[in-house]
This record gives sequence, C-alpha cells and structure tokens, in this order.
Amino acid sequence: MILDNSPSWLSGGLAVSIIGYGLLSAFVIGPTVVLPREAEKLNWSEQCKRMVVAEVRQSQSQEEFVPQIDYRDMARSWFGRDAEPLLQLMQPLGQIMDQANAQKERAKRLNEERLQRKAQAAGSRCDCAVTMLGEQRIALGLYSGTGRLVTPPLFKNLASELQTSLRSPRCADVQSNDGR
Amino acid sequence: MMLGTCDVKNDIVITHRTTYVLSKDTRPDVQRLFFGPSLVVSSGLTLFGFGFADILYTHEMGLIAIIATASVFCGLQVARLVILDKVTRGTEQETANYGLHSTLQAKRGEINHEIERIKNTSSAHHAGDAS
Repeated sequence: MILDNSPSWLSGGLAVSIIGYGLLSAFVIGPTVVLPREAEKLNWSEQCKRMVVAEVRQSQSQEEFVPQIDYRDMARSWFGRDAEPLLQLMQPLGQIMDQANAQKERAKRLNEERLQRKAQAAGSRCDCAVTMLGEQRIALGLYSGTGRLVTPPLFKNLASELQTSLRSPRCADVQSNDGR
Repeated sequence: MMLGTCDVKNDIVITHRTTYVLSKDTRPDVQRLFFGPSLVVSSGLTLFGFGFADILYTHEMGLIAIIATASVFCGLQVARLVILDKVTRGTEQETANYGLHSTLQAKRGEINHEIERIKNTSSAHHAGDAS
C-alpha cells in the first residue's frame, strides 16, 4: 500500500476526515447555513413574496367595473315627493337589486380574503424554493467546503435558480395546498 | 497523560494489554496519528470562515477560530506509542498506547535506553565469546 511508507500523520484518518468534511459541507453546513443565508443576502424572502402576490393577482380575472346604482336616490332626485309611490311599486325589483349588490360585495370580500391567504402562504412556497436547491448536494458541498473557491453555476445564478425552483410544480403545490 | 499503562522493567515492557520482551531489534515509535485529520478540520474551517465571513455572525466566526485552533492543538498533543519489531514489523507483535505526545516521548526514551542496555550487554557477550 502507498500509505505504508508515508508519515504516520498522513496515513491516519486523513482520507476519512476529508470525506467527512465533504459530507458535512454537502449535507449539513451547505443546506442549513450557507444556502439560506446566501438567499437572504439576495433579499429572497421579500422578493419572493412580492413575486408570488403579483403572480396571484395576475392569475385572477379582472373584474368588470359595474357601478352600483342606488335606485331610491335616483328616483327621489328625478321625481321628488312623487317618487315614493313609484318606489312602493318597484319594491320587488328593488329587493332583487339589493340582493345582487350584496352578493357582489360578498364575492369581492371572499376574493380579497383568498388573496390574503395566498400571500401568507407565499412564505412556505419561498422556503420550498430554497429547500429544493438544498438538494443539489455536490454543488453545495463544493461551494461551502471550499469556502467559495469553487463556485458552481447554482451559486453564480442563485437568484434565477431560486425563481426557477419557485415556479417548479413541487413548490407550486405547496402554495395551492396551503392557500386553500 | 497516557491511556492505560506502560512499564519498562528489565528487558520487558508491560502494557495494560500485553507484555513485550525487548530485543535489540525493537523500535519504539511515537506517532501523531490525528495530526492529518486535525489539519483537514482546521484548514477546512479556516477556509469556510474566511470564505463566508460576510454571511457569518461574529460569534460563529469566533467559534470557528476556537475549534480550528483546538483541532491543531489536539492533533499535535495526542499521539500513539507503537513498539515495533524490525523483524516482525506489521504483525501482531506491535503494541500501542495512546496519550499525550510528551508523555509518550518520555516513555519512548525509557524504552530506547533499555534497548541500548540490551545492545551493550549482547555486544559485551559477543566480545567475551570472541576472546
């Protein structure tokens, strides 16, 4: 064996310690310390939340602007005191209009609540993007193990890699599950 | 400090595990077994500390510096005393004790002294036989 003739301090657990250091960098330090902090340095969480909220707003169909008409005020302004008998006559139609207005208000409120829930769930979707990149062990091990001496493409374009993993089906599922 | 015992008495080394009869072919060796791994740990940590100084907290950098220094210190201090036989090197005739490098070096000196005595005695015998 080659190591038989080498100095004792060289033969010992040198290979084991190098492998151990590599594994520690790839599986512990890289995904738990280096990657989340590099992402935070790019202000990822804020940037990501903005992106997710914008995406949600964009995906919603634009509501048509329908002005709410208060038929009572209109009738009173047009007919003055004579409006009251007319309003009595139109009461059934007025009730239908009131109901339609209330339903429209309710739909708008529900939609706003759904939007807020989705915005809150954006945090877990953003975390998902970081966690997903954390599975690229070789790149992480090289980057954190060498103290940035070796910079894999993952870290050269970290912002775009994070955006790509944010849009991946796996992280999109996180939002749809949480945001229901 | 040494783990276990290692007594040198008249041609014999008695350790906690085995008894070894010294001969002129015996060679005690003190090896810093963990120096390599400790260098890997400390250089790796130093590289990490300097490389990621911008994303590490001050207390983390301090901890890294302490661990890196302690690692090299331990690597230099911890050693293994092996008693090798030049003839049967690499066989089960070897015996080993772990401990502080300075303690083991002193013990090695004792064993070497005993080996010298054996060599002198045997050369005196040879000289006596020749005459």
